[in-house]
Amino acid sequence: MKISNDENFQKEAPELKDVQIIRADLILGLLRMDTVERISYILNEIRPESQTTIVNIFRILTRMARHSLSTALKIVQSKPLMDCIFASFLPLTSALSALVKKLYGTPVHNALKLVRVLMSWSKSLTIELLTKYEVGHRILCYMSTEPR
Amino acid sequence: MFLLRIGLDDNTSVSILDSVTLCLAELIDNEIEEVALDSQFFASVSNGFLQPSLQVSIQILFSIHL
Repeated sequence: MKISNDENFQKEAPELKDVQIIRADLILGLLRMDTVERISYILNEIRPESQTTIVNIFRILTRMARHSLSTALKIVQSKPLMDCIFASFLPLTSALSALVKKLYGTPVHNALKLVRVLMSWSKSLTIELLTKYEVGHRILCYMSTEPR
Repeated sequence: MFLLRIGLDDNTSVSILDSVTLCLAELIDNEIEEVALDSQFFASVSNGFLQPSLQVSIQILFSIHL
């Protein structure tokens, strides 16, 4: 059983220090440090041009999404983050060119994987994402692009 | 971990942001485990691994070789 599901731990968690949380559960520690909000800020405001940075951000988010339903909900409920992910990395239209090196505005498979992991948690989460962000249409756009 | 948080907050340097995200990803992400989890998912959902790819479907549908 994960320590995050332990009742005693849940009661004590608000009083624990960040270091203690990180030692007990790394993902909970990252949540405590507002990593989701920080990542959201980076993607929305900094808009990194480096492909490596963006891919690694998706690796982090996917791993966090796998942790638990509550973590997945925390990610989905971060509206600026989800809006940015869908608008920038799973767009409804895309004009791909071999010369374009920026990932913003082009479908990114790591983003689709994150959405898949989030959706696999519950039916309600899936319905929410499907209706709110037109995931079906975005997948069609993703499938119609030439792989690079 | 706290150094990484400071790194995430340093929005002025591309290389720091690059390194911090890589470091954090390497810390929490395990590629082998990810591949295993993905395989498990695709094997358990609708026999996904048995389904032909879109390219094969189009080839069959239009009898063409892409």
